[in-house]
Amino acid sequence: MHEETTAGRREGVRGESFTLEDLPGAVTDPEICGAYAADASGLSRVPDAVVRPQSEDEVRELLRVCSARGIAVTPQGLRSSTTGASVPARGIVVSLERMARVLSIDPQRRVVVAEPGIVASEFKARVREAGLFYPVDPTSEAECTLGGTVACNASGSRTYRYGPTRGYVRALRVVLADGSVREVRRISSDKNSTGYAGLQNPVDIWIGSEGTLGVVTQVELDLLLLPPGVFGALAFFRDWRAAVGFVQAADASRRVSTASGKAGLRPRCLELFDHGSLDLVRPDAGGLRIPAAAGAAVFFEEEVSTEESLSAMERWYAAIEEAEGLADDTVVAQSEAEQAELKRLRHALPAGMNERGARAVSNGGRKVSTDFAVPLDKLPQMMEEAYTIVREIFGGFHVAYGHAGNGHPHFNLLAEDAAGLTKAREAARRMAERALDLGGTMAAEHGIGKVKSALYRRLYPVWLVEASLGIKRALDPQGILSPGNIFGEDEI
Amino acid sequence: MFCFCRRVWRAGRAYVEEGLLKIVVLVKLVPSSEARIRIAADGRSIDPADVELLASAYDEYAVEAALQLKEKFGGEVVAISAGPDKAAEMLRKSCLALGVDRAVLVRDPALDRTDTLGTARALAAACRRETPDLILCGKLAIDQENAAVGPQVAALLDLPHVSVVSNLEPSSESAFVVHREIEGGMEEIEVSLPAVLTANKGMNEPRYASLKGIMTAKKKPLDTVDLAALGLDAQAVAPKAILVSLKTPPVRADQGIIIQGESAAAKVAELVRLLFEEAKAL
Repeated sequence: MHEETTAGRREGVRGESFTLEDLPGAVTDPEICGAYAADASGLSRVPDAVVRPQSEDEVRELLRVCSARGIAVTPQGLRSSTTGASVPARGIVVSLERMARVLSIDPQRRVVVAEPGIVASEFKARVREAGLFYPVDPTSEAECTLGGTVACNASGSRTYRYGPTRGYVRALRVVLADGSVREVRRISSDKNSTGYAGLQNPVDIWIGSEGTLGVVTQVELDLLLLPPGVFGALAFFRDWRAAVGFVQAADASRRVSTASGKAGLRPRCLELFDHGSLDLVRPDAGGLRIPAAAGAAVFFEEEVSTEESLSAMERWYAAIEEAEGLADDTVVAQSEAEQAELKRLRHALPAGMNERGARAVSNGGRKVSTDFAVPLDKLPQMMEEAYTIVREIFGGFHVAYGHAGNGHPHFNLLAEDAAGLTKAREAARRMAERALDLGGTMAAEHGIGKVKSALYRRLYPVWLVEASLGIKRALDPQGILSPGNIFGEDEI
Repeated sequence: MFCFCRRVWRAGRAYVEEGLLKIVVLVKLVPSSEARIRIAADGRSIDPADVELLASAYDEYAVEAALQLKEKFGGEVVAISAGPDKAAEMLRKSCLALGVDRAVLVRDPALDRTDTLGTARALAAACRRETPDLILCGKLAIDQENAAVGPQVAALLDLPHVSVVSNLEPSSESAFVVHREIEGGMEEIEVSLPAVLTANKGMNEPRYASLKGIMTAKKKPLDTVDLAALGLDAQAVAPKAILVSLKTPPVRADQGIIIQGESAAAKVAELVRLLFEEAKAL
């Protein structure tokens, strides 16, 4: 969109000449810009400049100037996206890292207002200090921002019970491409029959819009009461089939018990570790004894008071036995420290695979991960096919773990070199297509970003993608916001 | 491998039973190291509100060591704690649920304000009833860090003791070889049973409770005894050292500085100057 003309001088869309240094607050030091170039996808491009505003006014001013000059702007949180969504295809980066305050917590109404740049785990700790609970728990919560979780409608293990970010967003303040600001508030009446259902709540259009429709400057969220207590446990099984069978049984029990009010399993998460995942965490498991006979495991948590926890545990024990698990080996995290330790082990999986992937980069390899999800009744079939696809097309080291309760395991393929990478990507594409065939999605929580727009078109009919593009063009006619995210760069 | 033997009395006759090693573990209820500690209104105790209470971390190594010995050589593990009512829950969760066979809580109002020697007297009396081959506890409790109760119990029972043990292994039916980290080296000590050993970090990796362990823990014996039941009275545990008051350390002001400068090079120059001249780190 703009080419370098003379040294440091650039030409905007309207032909006027400017330097990036003219942008309010712009930093062009290549070393600093280099720190804003890459996310967890492996995609990378050094931005022409980085702006780190401290207020909404600074964001408005920046976008006014950028839209006047046609400079592309990609908003960034902490670049934990796995899809290249925070990597600038061109132009500059606006990092929200300096807008990281909690503005207010109202304990009576259980509402919090915060800026987007706050680290998600930090935000949750602040909410907790106020005696309240924000349940969304992306695995990367210590490395991502609240704004990032809104931008991709993040979820986590507890999404099984609590749903993704979307359900908690009451309102957003958004600076649009032209620098104008808009407060988008959820229409929260119980009933609403105004127009097309998918568009009845405009705030929903921004949640998960991956930086393509504006820069969020304030997030207003609903909070919950803290649960009366919680225990977490890791149950072991001979193989993934038994583990997934257990997940299905636990899910069925939860549905019956929720509907009937009768006693039953009430998991808030159901997370799978397959054989390779257990091997990966074994050396790091410390006092957590992973039995040699275990070929898979399921991590579950239930919110229950101390008084009722024993009867809940007895129900779980029976269910694990019923599913032919290694019931006697089931370990329980009783203290907060043990719960944190189990969570750390779970997080060590993607982190460990990322590290191994990073070591392969010099050979042209890297980690390729899937984000498909299928209805839970299709999960055994999907997993069976996925393992076959991985074995036949890729053939290298791989693990599968994750949100089995939501039919959403992450397959991680470790491509050791460029040839392996091609095969791994092909396998990932095939798995995503199978997920679509089985009534699922290929991007359950990480978004489309710059790597899945072709599959996006495969999932939705042309007229619907066109309608989405219509919204994009209405709000950002020049296409300066996060070019390349969701839609191909040339589509806008 | 060999078997531990032990003389047991049954119906007035002495028998030698093989594979019996009786271990007592002393465990203290303390606030979680993650807890935000506030001082209670009396100015000399910790406000228990919103504070997660757990077994002291070093005592957990002792429990794990006892369980591993039992798994290897057979025998019985008894956990004993002197503390408040809440310590009963801790004994179930952190001892019985892990595999400890039974537990004893010494609960007496006279213990609430006692010192380490008073606590040691109560625990020693409770140990005496058990006649263990081995008494294990943490090298210190992570709340007050006196590191006194273990050695005091040993002295009161007239038993040998080794503190800050990082590794232990039986060397015969009646002795253990233990390792003890010292400044710049490792001591190896052989100690005859019965003995008191206090556990250091790194001795083992304490296990998690199993679902089954938690379920069976509720059926295991947990006796609560007072001082009178142990043949002691309040006078026996009257403190010789009295805790006068507790204070939290003064809040330190944030001492970081942000280096300002025209360019990265100027900032680095300033940083280097500060490291040399102010911090004297280089």
